[in-house]
Amino acid sequence: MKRYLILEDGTVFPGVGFGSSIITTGQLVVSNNRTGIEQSVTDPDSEGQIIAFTVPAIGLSGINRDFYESINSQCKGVVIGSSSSATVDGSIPFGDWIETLGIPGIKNVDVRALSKHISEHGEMKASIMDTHDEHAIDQIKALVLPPDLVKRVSTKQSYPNPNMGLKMVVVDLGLKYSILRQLSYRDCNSVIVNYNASPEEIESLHPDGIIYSNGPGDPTDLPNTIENIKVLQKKYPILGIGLGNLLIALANDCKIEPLDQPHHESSLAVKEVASGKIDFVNHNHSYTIDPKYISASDFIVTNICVADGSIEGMRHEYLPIMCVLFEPEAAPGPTDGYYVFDEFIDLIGSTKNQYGGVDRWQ
Amino acid sequence: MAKEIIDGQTMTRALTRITYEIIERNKGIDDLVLVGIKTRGVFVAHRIESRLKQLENISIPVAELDITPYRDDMTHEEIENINIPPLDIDIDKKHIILTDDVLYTGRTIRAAMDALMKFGRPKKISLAVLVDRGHRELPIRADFVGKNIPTSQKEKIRVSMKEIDGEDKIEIE
Amino acid sequence: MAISDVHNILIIGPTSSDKNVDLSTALYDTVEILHKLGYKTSIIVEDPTSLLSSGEFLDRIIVEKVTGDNILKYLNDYHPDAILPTIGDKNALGIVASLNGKISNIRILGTNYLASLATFKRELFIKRLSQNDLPVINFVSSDDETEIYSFIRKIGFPIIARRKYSNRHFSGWTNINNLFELDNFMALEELEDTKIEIERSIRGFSEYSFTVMRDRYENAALVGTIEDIEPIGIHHLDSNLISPAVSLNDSKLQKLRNYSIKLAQAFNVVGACTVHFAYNHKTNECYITEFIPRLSEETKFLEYATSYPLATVVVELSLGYHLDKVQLDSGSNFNGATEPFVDHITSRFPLWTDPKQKYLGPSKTSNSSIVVNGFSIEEVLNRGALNDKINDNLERYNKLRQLNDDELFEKIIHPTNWMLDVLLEALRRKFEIPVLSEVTSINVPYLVALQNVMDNSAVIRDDEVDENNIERLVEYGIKGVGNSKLLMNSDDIVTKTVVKSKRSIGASGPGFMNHNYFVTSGISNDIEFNDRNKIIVRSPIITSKRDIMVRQFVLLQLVKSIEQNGLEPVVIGREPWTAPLSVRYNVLEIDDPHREMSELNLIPENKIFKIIDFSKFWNLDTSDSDNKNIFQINARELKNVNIAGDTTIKVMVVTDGKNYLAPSIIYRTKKNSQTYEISDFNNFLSVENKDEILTIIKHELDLYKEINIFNLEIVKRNDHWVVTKVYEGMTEDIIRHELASSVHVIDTLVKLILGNKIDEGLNLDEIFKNYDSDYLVTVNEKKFRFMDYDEVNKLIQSI
Repeated sequence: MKRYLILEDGTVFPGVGFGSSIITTGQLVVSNNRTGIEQSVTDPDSEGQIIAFTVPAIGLSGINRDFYESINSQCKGVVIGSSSSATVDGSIPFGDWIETLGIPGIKNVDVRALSKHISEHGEMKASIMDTHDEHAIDQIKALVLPPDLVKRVSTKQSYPNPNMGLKMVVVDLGLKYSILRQLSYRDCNSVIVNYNASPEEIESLHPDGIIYSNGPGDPTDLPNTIENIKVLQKKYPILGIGLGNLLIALANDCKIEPLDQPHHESSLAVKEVASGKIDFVNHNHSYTIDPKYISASDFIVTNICVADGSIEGMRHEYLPIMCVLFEPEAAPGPTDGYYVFDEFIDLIGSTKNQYGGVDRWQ
Repeated sequence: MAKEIIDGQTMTRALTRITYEIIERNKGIDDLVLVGIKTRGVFVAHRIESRLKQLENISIPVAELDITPYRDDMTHEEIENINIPPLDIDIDKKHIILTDDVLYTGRTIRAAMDALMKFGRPKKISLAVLVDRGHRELPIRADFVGKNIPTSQKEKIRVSMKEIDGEDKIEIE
Repeated sequence: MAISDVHNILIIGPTSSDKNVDLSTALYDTVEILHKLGYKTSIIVEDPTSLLSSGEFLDRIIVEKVTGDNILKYLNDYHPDAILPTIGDKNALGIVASLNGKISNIRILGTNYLASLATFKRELFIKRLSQNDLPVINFVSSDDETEIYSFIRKIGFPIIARRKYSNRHFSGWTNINNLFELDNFMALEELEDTKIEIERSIRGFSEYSFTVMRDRYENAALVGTIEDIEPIGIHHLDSNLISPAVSLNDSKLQKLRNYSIKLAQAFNVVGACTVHFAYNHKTNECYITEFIPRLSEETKFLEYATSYPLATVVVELSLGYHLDKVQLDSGSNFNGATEPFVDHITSRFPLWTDPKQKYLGPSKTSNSSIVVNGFSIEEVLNRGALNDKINDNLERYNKLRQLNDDELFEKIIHPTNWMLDVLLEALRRKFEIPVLSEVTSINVPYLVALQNVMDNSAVIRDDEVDENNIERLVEYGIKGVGNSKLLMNSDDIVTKTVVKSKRSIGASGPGFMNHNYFVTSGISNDIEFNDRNKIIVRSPIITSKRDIMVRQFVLLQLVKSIEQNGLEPVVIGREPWTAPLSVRYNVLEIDDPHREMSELNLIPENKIFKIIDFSKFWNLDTSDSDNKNIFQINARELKNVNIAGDTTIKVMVVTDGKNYLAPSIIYRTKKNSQTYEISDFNNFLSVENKDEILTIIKHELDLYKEINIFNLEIVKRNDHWVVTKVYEGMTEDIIRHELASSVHVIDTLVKLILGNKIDEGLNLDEIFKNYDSDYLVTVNEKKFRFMDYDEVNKLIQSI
């Protein structure tokens, strides 16, 4: 049945509704992910977002529930162009799956025009509704999106992901399960804690390394976490991913700035500065580090985005801190970025070595 | 039968990591000099230098050291009478990072240090190697190691580098 | 950076075989960029007319049969620094494989001996893949029963088996699904010295093709993916292809991507490497079936689908450029480290010239193809394979309706090139989709798409189109004139792409200095027309390879000429014309398989200066009325008299209705049972000859008072000339008439269309002025040679 995607600035995109029939509003994000709809919709980053997918024939490749990145989806709505009601492996059709998650969707939308509009006017609020009168548009303009996105998605209770190797504490800012998959693969004995966990709480877990995950929202909304980082970074090796990276930057007197064109793509090229090697990795971020302040700070830039030259990774000059803005755990996207986890483990190993620890054979 | 145990990608990542560690442990790299031993140690030095250049935008001088005249079994007189070509870099008060591809008994490194001492008085000498295979016969240790590979003394480690062997890999046989 | 010691490159060019892919655009892009980057290039070709416009960039053209021996001879004579085999199709790779060890330090660019050999020798291919842990189909070839049974135990059923006889002949493959069939096969009579070959059967697996670009520094990018609608068992180029591969979910896509990159690394292929996979969605088994380390039909298709400048980037990567620092010919930097994202589906449907049904199998049978775009699978099916204007589907429907259920089912079990029509008929008769999928191994979503198409066709046929279902019809790409009007009247409807235009590769865009927008726009939300007056060139579907080459040449020259004369060229074709890279900025290409552009009136009438229509040239249908604005290029035969002679002359004439120019003359004569053909013969004609010919021209063309091109054939009989053939329009001879003259003819034609006139009172020399400096001489239709003025003079004296 006919529904409309209405943008904050009044632009209307008609389409056909599917999934849940509720009315919804959220921050509209245009995603160029080629595959991995399951991952994108269950990614906690999508909290409060309406995601528009520009890839054609959505759903044809099937839905695999093993690919979930969190248990519940926080996505507010899904906008697509063409779709297929049949799947290649007999799994549940896309429309039905969205409905079981309780998410409203709208299809047959001209996603090309939408994508062009957003790239020209910036990300904005949008709503999926059944009518498109003046009243509806005013409602959207009036709506304020909730600011405490990380609080909503971060785990309330600590939980383990046990194994036999290095002890990692993962601070959950909205983490994707694939981070835990990569840590498991490397035998890491992980404990996942709430974003506000105190330094004492984390220290009591005796971590070998601390990981700050990716997550939704504005990093300046988390002053408490930033303060905690300042304390912990003096004692432990730290890996920051996405939002985690931005927090670490802020904790060290760097500034962040929004990107001209936000990176929402499952395969974008990133160059490792030291060796010149180009990798294709998954990006899902709208902010980057302001390069003007980097040289004065104690960080060196380790990765840049080939397409627009923005900073994608950095490392502290003498403390064991490394960060990347992209998502090395992929899901979806090319697996070129997995090496970041290996590098972090190496970093932990060499830190131990320096202080007389056990020599580890890789 | 040679078996590849480290592929090209792992090797380049190890070199990148060594570079990060060098930066981490030296507050400021202005007084660094890289000295590469024999053939492949020189390529290791150059690769580290190019990474340092990319990361910190500073050019670190690289020198080559040929220590074949300094074999362990030579007598004292023979060593005294050897004519070695001098390094073309001043090493006084510098922090030297000796680089080599494989660290085994340690005798090559000792010979290298002997040679260096003839050329000047460095502030400090550190050692960076791509592979540490154990079985040291002298009290020498590497400050920066690419990979630790335990081996038996019957086995041989063979390092191939693109510059001279056409590809990057490490094999054991 | 770029390899510093290569300055001189020998390109192994295409052979004359009709079986080869038409890579003329890729060749043009390659030699153009090499020329612009300052390399000296030479090429070995069998037929220099196949070079068309690329000739202007080459430093030397060697006309010889493209064989290993001739290449070796050239290497010894001229010592180039490197050989480039990537444009030479399979033949070039074969030559590279044979040159091993014989060429000392001459580099091979792009591929290498090992990779080339592996494309021919299966054992080498399998061995290398196994060494690198890549999934390959194992096979055994043996006469030892223990070995054979042990192999079968290891890999299990289903398998395929055949016998290899001592005279190197094979029996056909037999499918063996269980012990019973195996026993039957093994019990068959065996000759002496027979080996049995056994392989895991991949019949029924889905087929995918991935193309990866790799540079010398281990950077690799996945440029495009293709999937086949038909499964393994039907040749890749006889199947209906779809790009991107929408049936792959993330983990399958990344798995195949990683394998492709690893394979390129294992064979050290620099440039483009296409890998073919067989994938079973039920068991998740995956095998690499072959790889192609050169430019091919797949790269040609992907270059169109993604706008990624494959040909240009391939040659630069092989010369040592970094993937993210490639140069386009316009001097601008291009970031090749992109995995192009496409928001629509591009599809390739094979075409057969014979309208009868044909059985399909592992060997290619189709003659050409058509490429269409759409947003959904239904749309591309409607525009392509089920497009009645292209494939005569109504005829097929009528024929298939007459078959009974068993006969129809037979056509399903034994696939034919009418597969999609057959399936449509089966669905109409309510055959069940899961059963059809099981039998044909075609994935269910395609069958569902066919079902949707069928349901909607019924709606149109029964005249039940209204504002409620119009949108669904639009979504499925069903557009006829009547429906388009209906949808244009509704203000709520999303007007999807009716046609697709390509303006590709912005080397920089706002905010993304290195990001490339491969803009493939749709009418109504993307095409931006500038203010300039336009000349629209309409081109129909072409099927023969020769005609495709002619079309490439003519369109390119037309576009350049129109541009130079200050107007904007717009090319509207029923199938896409891939413009060479350097021209893509200047021309607006629109493909319009349903011929809707005219109805939609999207280009303002007052901006259209003229329409040049090629449809009549290739004698396909055109439904245009007599429009003064349309300049029809007809290849119409005006006169054909059957008089033979030993000496003939072909003259190409361009006229504005009053005066004539004859810039190109081909002379042909027979002596001592050898035939000689010399082009640009103008300069060897005496004044009397020229006068005679001009009189003939004026006489023959007296009745035709319009701007046009004519081709006359004159035979010498008893010492005077007789006109035997007169053609209106451009014939295939335009590429024989030697390059500079042909370009001049096309340019003159454009100027005449724009309103210029041929000068009055030109003298003979000016009328017959010729623009070439080398003369192409053909002996016995096979041997080509370039000669200069003196050499030709000597030849003429002798005959």
